[in-house]
Amino acid sequence: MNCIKFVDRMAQGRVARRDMIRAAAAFGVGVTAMPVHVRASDQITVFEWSGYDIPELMPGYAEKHGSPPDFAIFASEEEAFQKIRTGFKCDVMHPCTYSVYQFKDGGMTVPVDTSKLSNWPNVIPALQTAEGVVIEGAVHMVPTDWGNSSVIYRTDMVDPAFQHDESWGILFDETYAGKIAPSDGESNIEIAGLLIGLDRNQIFRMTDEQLEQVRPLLEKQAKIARFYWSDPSEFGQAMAAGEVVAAYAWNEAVKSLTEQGIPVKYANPKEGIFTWLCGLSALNTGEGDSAMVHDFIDAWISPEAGKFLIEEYGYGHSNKVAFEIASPESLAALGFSTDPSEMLADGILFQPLVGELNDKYVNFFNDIKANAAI
Amino acid sequence: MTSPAPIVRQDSRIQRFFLRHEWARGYALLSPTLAVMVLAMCLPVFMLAAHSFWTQNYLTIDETFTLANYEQALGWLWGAEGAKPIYIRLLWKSMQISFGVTVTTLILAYPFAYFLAFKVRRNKNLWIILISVPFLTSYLLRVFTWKIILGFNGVINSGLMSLGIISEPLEFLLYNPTAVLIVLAHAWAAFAILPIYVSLEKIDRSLLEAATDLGDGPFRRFWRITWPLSVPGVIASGLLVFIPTVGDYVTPKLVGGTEGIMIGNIIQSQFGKANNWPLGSALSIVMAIAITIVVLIFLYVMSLGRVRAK
Amino acid sequence: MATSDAIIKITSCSKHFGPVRAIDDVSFDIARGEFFSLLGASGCGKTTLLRLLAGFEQPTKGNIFIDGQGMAGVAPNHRPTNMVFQSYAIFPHLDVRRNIGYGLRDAGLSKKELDGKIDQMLELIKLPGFGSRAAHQLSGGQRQRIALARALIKRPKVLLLDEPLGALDKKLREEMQLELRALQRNVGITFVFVTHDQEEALTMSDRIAVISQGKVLQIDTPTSLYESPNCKEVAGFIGTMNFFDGTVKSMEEANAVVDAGPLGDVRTRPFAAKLPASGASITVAIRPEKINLNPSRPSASHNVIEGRMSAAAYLGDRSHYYVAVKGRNAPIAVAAQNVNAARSWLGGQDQPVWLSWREDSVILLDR
Ligand SMILES: Nc1ncnc2c1ncn2[C@@H]1O[C@H](COP(=O)(O)OP(=O)(O)OP(=O)(O)O)[C@@H](O)[C@H]1O
Ligand SMILES: [Mg+2]
Repeated sequence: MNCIKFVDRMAQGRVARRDMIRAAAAFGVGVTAMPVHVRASDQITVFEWSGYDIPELMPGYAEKHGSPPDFAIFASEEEAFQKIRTGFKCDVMHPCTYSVYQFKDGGMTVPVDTSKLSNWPNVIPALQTAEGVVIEGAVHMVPTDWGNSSVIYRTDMVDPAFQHDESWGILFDETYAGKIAPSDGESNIEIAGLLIGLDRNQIFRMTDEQLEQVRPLLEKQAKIARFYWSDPSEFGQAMAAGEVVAAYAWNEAVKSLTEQGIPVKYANPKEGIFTWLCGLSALNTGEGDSAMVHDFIDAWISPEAGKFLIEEYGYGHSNKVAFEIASPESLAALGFSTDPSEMLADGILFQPLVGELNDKYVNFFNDIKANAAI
Repeated sequence: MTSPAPIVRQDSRIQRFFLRHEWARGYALLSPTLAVMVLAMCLPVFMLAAHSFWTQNYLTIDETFTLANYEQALGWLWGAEGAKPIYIRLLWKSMQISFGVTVTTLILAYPFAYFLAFKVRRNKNLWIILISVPFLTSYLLRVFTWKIILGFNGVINSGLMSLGIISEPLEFLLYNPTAVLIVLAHAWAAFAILPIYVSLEKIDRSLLEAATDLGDGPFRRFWRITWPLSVPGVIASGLLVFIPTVGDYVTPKLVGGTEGIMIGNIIQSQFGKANNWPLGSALSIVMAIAITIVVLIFLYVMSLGRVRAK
Repeated sequence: MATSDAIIKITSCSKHFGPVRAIDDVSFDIARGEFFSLLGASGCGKTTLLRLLAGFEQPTKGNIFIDGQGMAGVAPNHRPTNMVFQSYAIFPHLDVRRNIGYGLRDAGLSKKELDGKIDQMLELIKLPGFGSRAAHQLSGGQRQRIALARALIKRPKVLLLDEPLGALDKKLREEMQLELRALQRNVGITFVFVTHDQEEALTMSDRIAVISQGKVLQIDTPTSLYESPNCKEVAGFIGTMNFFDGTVKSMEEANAVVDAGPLGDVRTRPFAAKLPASGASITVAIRPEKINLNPSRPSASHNVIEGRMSAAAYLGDRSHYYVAVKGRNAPIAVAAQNVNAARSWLGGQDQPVWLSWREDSVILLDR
């Protein structure tokens, strides 16, 4: 979830220090991503994805509290989790339904009092009660943004037949050896699970035998992949150049590549499309004021923030009014159903990998990568 | 003032202790540095060592002593059940890459240091500043620059294509171990230049004239005088490059593609995604010990070589 | 002066470093087997001249011939010269044997022959048994000898030595001076020896070239240099000298009478070939040790002057006295051997004394 065309911009000499920190964060390098200014003790600290630290996504907050919150940037929830666990002080964090449990189990989240959120009544009802939003009867994550994960491909460079038979299989297809870019993560295991016919729940809790069944697929993928991406700008650049013809991607990529005039399409794979839902969690690890935390979250779920997210980033938003005020072209360009409840029902919602399961998946994928490298 | 003041002021016992023991004064002077060293270096290493004998239990750590992590990391060597060879193989491969990086870096750095020491007469400082200019930008930025150079439609490919030498972009430039080697060698070259430069600069010019005077031509003089006297700098540079690059994970991640992964990537993943600090710690320690062993063997061989030269 | 058997011929040689004329149009010969010294103040160009001979510098103008062969374009490693450096330049990574044998690697010697030669050298420099010492385990004097051995083992036609004794203490230096001289006689190699120490040059050399600001002032044997310097500068640089300005009054046969101001008329018997013309402005020079100190007016009719003792320095074997003379600011220096116990008649400050000297002690120099 990142809309920085980093390399492009660097080539144009427009990369600022801020962008460097973001990019660094994206590769797990800038784990020390520092708040931009010395912490004014009366501001809250928000731990965010890169690209989400802009005032347009929290309209009214800075006006009310004198300044935007202090931001720190992370690239993956695991990294953020480790950092908070080792003492990083922050008041708000931006997890997703599949990762929020870790924070909840780690005793870091505090339930949000939705009665203090003026925009809560306009939050799409299906999201208000989604699994991961409500945990053990309390709202631990206020839903904000949602979208898909699927295959993006170059229509001019992929066999035309594929357009009528879109499949995750393209990410494992030797025909495109050296021209595919999966993401650097365990989602590859889940996708391979879909390909060997496991059901959409089982792929998140595969047995050892099932893992062994997908091993050949993943080993093949490791051999034919150009690279595993960690930051969307990587495959964006490569796709624009024609170096990569198919990649794992979030919705936002379609919008930005199309705007560059690259003929790409966002697939609706026959095995199913992934859905993610993310939101804001209030944490007890910071020193900020709880009322300010609520104001911040409330600003994020406002219709104006939603309009911006839809129009500029191409993601869905949790406030239903946002869809009414967003421009029709941008809604069309989203390329997926604008009805979140339908989408949440149709798509394969990412499920948390917790504890041993996470270990198993991560080590299995490490194994695949290491074996390919040796 | 009731009692008469003593003529000689009596030092306190502590003062007398310090007066009498020079080592104590030394440590007292060192103590701030020592404290920082202990806190900043020993403590983390100690924590790492401790973790390597513990077990991760989802979010908690079981602090019962166990060797299981080491068995997982190294067990393949003695055929422990379920132990995988990947860690050892990857460590070995990382060392090979680092070794390649070290040799490449030295080959790049030596002529430059030589040039700087012997050929540049004016503005040496300017040159040294120029060498360090790349460090004013972030390492990441430099890696990205290499991506631009080596990339699919990067500088090299578009250059070759516009010259008509190739019709399709070369794909082997990026995303493989060679790319890792190139980027690392470039990144560390400046570090390698300085020790070599210092050792060359230290060579008394009259030694070179003496060698010439005794009949050596330029090449023979280089091998008999310049090279042996610069070997300490070369060794220092080599270690300076080899030791930190074995564990590097940023470069392989950015330009290594799927074949360029190194041990550092796996370790990082244990501390991050895999959330298995104990295994990550054990792997780190195995790596550190392996590097130490390799370095010691290297230094031992070097010292043998030098004894023989006498 | 064996110019007929010159091993080194320098013909109108100049070396400029930018605006600095380190060597300025120099020509002279050095004879085979000679111990030849280059003497001059710091910065006068001695090292530069030596480096021109060794080939480390190329002359800006002029030529150098060594043993009849022109040296233009001949690299240092191909010249029949070897050098002992001011800093000795002992190779720090090699032991004594390897240092000494360094230049013989290509001589086609067997290991045994090489070892024999090195042992011989160690013997010669009186350091037998030092062969396996590391370079850093040597004293200054030992380093100097090894540098010498390292150059000598090559049997060069000319050995160049750049202030090789400069770093040694006085006693060791004097010892080495004699040793070096003896060694040179033994091996029969031409030595070109740079020094800024005039005493050293006088003790050791067959001939000395006095250099100043890149020019050679005089080349002569030590005695001639001391007794008949050809200019004020040489006279002043070697030993101490009393100078007086004067005008030639008359020439009587080979003798001159010079009106030397405060000294009155000075009679001389100049042994220089060139006789000054009557009325010429001239400098009269007299060595301190050639002036006699008398308690009362001596009987001689000329070359006598009265003065007052202004200072005295007792140096053990001799004493230096400074005598003030009317009409002259600088006192006249007088040196006398303390053959007997110090002169008993000398009272001290301001005592009137009489100075006298022989006619043939006076040197006439151009002003
Ligand atoms: N490489 C050079 N570049 C410029 N000037 C030089 C160089 N070498 C020598 N000179 C100048 O030439 C002059 C003669 O130098 P040289 O070293 O020959 O003096 P020297 O008689 O050996 O003095 P010393 O007794 O101090 O060693 C000096 O004015 C010196 O500054
Ligand atoms: Mg000199």
